[in-house]
Amino acid sequence: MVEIDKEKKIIIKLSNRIDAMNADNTLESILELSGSIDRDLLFDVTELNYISSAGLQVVLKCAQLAQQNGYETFLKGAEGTIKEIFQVSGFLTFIKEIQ
Amino acid sequence: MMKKRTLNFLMHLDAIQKKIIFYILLISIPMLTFSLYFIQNSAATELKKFAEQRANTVVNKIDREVKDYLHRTSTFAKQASFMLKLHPEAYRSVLPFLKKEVKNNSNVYGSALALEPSKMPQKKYCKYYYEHNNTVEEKWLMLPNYDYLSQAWFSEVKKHKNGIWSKPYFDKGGGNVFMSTFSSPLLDKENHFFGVITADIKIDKLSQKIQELTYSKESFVFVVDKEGLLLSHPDDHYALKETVFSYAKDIHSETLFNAYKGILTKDKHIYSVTIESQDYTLYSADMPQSDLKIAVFIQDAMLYEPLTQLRQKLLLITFAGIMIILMMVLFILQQFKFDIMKTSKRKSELALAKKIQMSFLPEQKDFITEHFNIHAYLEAAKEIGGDLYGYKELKDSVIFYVGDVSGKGVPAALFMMATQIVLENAIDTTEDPAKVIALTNSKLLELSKNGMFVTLLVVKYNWNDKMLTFCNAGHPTFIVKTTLLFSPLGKFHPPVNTFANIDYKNTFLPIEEPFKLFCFSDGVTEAENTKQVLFGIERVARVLAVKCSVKDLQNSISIFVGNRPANDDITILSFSYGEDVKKM
Repeated sequence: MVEIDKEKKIIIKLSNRIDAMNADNTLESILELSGSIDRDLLFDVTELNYISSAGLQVVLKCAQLAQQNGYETFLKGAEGTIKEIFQVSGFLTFIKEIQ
Repeated sequence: MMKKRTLNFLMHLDAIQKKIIFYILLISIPMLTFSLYFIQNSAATELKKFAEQRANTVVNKIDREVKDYLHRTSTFAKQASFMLKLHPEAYRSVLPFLKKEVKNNSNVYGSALALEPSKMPQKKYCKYYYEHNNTVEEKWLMLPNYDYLSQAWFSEVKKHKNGIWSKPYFDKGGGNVFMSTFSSPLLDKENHFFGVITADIKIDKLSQKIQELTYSKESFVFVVDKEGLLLSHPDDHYALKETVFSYAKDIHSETLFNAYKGILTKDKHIYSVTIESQDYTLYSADMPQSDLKIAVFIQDAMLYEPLTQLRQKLLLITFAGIMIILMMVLFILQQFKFDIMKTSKRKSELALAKKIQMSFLPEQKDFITEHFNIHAYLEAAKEIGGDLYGYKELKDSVIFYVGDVSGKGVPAALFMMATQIVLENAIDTTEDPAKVIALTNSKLLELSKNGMFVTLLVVKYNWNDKMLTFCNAGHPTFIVKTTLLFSPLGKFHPPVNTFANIDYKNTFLPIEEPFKLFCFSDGVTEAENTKQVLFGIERVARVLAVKCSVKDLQNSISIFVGNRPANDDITILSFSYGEDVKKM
């Protein structure tokens, strides 16, 4: 499930699961709801239980778009398995963690 | 090329198809035939009832007509009787009246005035007027030629004091026509009988009138008396001339003959007859208050015409219905067949694709040299997968790698192959793991923009330097077993094909002693059992601490996962160096 909030950054809240089943829809929703990428992205994964490589593709796509437009991508609320996934997959090399 | 199993299944399907069609026909045809028969029967019964009603209507019509005719023709006699009621002695006064009637009424052939001798004129008296040669003649009907007193037309009326019609009879003396005589009693004011006035009515006109009323090609009428004499018949040759039996003989209709035998013995009243090769149904009824029998003939073709039409329509509908059902079944089965063939075709295509994909991986799963051993295991979650591995022996070193494309199935497989080719090419160019990854990254990004990424771990061991060099781009970490078991960490890099200009850096680890190195894809750590528990890196470490081989690790995973189907590709590659390594 995904919720978008546009404030100082575009806050993308991912909850429950992102996997091959809903990855496409999630990406579509994000791009639709955020309109143009005109500021930094913040992924809030506090309520995220599971993310598969399909889900990571979604995050990557958003990060790539942000980079194209000259913005950065941040991550917040990653713990336990989720943090490990982001770490081991090397995603934390281009996504910064913040509180 | 379809597998034998599929071919057998298709043949089986053909047999099933034939069976289904056979059973459909077996059930539907008798069922529909039975329904058809049943409907026909019901319809026929209804039509017969309807025909009988119609016949009754005709009979009533005839009855009314006959009564009407008889009434009209006999009225004058009743009138004459009435005239004499108050003055019986003035009996002579009616004579002109009677004579006039005979003259003017073409249906009245004759009329008689007969008196009861005991009353008046104290002697026998019977004067008779009759038609002859277009005039009216008169004569006395008395002894010795004729004893009117004993005639039924006198004696019966005397007895009952009521007007009576005689049965139709053929009167040779009366002009060779069929007649019926109405006797009207003469009663005085005390109701004493004193004579009879008769009216001889020709009934040929009546006979014709009946035919006029009722005749059509499909339906006509006979009237017969109790001896079978045809009192009314469509054909003048037979009407009032022959019996129905001689008529039946003339036209060679045995059925008609037998039908009338039955009718006159009061057997059934509905018969099937054939007249001049047309089939008719005969409905017979008694004319009320007489011995006469009316038969209404209705042509079967007309009677059953609605039924024939109905039957035709039903047959058509039934046939169409069965055809439609069959076609639908055939169509569905064809679809079924088509789907199966498509699936099997796809399956065999995927199987072929797997072969090709596997052919790009190192031929030898177990590569043993004097310096080192490499053992590899790859199991795709679907027919084709997204994991890759490889190795290359160099001068004093060996370089090997494991990779994992994001996703599964065909897209991952295609990208896996591209990656492998680019990577192998990079290894030909440089021995430096970081450079290998960098080259692969830039080349893949150059070749196409797609959302896919691939995690890579490239490791090199130089046995001269005793140096392990590795670079990890988003891939799970590997495990090294010496006397200890540990997991070396190096710099983290994003996966390959995500961003350009990434600074990939090597990590160096000197290892002197014999050692074993295990690298794998995340399908290992994320293998799930039925309780949805992950295998996890700890479990991997525990297994490797005890049983240090690819086979053992793969076995453990297998047992752990149980019946649950794999949800990701599993790759394990082990690298062993050192003579004592076998003891580990």
